Amino acid sequence: MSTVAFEFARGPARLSRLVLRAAAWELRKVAAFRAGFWLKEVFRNLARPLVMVCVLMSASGLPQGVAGDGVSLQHAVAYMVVVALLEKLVFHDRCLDLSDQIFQGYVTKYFTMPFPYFVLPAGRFVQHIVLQAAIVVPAWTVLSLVVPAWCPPPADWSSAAMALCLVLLGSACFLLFYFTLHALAFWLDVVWTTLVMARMIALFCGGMVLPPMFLPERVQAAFAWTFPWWTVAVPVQLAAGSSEARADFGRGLATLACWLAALSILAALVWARGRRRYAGSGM
Amino acid sequence: MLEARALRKVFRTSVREEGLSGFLKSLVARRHREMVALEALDLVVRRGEFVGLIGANGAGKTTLVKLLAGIVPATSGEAMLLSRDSFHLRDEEKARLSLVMGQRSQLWWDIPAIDSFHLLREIYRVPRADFERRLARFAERLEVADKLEVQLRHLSLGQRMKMEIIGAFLHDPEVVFLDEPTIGLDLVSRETIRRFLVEHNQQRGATIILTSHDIEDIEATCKRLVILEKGRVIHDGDIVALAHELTSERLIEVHLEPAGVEPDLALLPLDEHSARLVGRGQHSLSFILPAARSQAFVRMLFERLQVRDLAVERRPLEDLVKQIFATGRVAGAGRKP
Repeated sequence: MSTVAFEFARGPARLSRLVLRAAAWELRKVAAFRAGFWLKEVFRNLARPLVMVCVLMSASGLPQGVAGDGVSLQHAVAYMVVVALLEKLVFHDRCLDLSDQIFQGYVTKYFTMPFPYFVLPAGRFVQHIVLQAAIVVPAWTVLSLVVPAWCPPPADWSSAAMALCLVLLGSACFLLFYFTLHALAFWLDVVWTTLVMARMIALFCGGMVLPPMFLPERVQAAFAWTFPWWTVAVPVQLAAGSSEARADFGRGLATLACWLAALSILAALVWARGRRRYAGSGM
Repeated sequence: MLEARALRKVFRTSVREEGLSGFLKSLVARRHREMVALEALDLVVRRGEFVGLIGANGAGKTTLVKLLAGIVPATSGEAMLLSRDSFHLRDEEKARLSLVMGQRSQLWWDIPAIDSFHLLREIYRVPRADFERRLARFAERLEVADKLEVQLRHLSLGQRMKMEIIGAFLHDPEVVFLDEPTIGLDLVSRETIRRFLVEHNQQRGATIILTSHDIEDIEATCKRLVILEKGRVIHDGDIVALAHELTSERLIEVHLEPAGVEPDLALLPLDEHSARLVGRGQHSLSFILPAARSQAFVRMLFERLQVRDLAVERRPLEDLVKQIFATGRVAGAGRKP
């Protein structure tokens, strides 16, 4: 009997390789069906911002004009269009099926495998970012050439890089946030409801439901303590070349780094506690 | 290799009271009940053993597998695998074990098995040459070589289970837990899987723990049989001893003429032949007796009864297992801890 003819290098190199392999595996999964691929990957996160654009355009015709008060309709619509593009890079709770795996017992076997389970969600994250970036970049380029007034291109390269940096960090926060909520399936049987409610609140805090220019300043200041705010609301302003947003970039980095650390600890704690509670259902 | 000492597992479940008042009460304060799945269980499995684990539903066999494989922690006692507490195995130890769950597919439904195998190769860090050699050999032995690139959802149940088994053996594990791997499979698939497991156990020396409700699985593959009931081991012994018990006895089924006279069993000298009546139908009788006495017994039956047909068979293992469940022991084979 040959014992395992290899040694486990615990370093980041092995984990990175494993994450990349998991990402390739996830890509195969999402591309398994053409209709599913188009609907769930290509058009992901587009419906709500586009509906919001329609709402803004309709409301602008009303006597009170929601886009009044110094905010032009074009500005608000352009904001929502860029939100639609950037939000595609933000990790979505439906990208994970962890709670389902816990309920059904499919997660069991991974507990006997020599790797941290989080590698699989991390692989899904990498796959999501790469695929969505491959969709967003050409889409933004084409739209900014065709309808620059409604979909302006990034102000300059450095603004685009700063915006991308915040979006990616924020997206990682969303991954940890949703992973933690999914892991509540070790205790709760209402995880889907919790996820839907949490997502709605997070999107609102991130200016993805309603442009922040329509919110009172105090509310905006409160949202600035949350990671969704820095994931989309600020990057959209950065991409538009806002000097205020550029000045806030450092604060955004620091806020997201703190959230990333806190959510990492929370996710690890919930996972470890849930793991002890797991009864291995389905076997 | 595997050891359980005074192992105990208690699951805590909430009690759902019936009716509206029960529902309202459970919203405020929920009551819980403790279910003992395993109680003071001791078991030692040595390297290279092929152990069959059987028991009725709820006997604790799957819980025992979960504890030994490190899926759930023990309430008290010790579950050791490869000299380490099972629930705290390191990656080095996990790389030496494998688990197959008959009721839960671990390969992804929408993609071909080969894609999942490549991920497993990376997780277990199997060198590419070994991976390809094993994959080709296993696929050929399990007769699914032409199915590796077919979406899992398009495979039959038997083919999917064979893929699960390939995935579980690709890293050449030293310890394999199989939880009802042949459930729902046809006879040919069962036979192919059994043959594969026996060959792997003999050629690679892998320690295999097999739980099954199918006694034929156990008989065809295992060297040792452990029977659980209500969370305790009620029998642990060499299956050869059981086989000896089986071959030393015969089951005789007699079919009587329907129009014949009703037999008076009191007139049959059962004690003289050490026989016992184990079944009685409308026109049939079943006896069990020592093999050495079967010839004389059959002669006597023909003399005293109006026999239409008669069959002499080896006693099925299932019968003996039922006897163990009923009495908690079997004479001359194994032990009752």
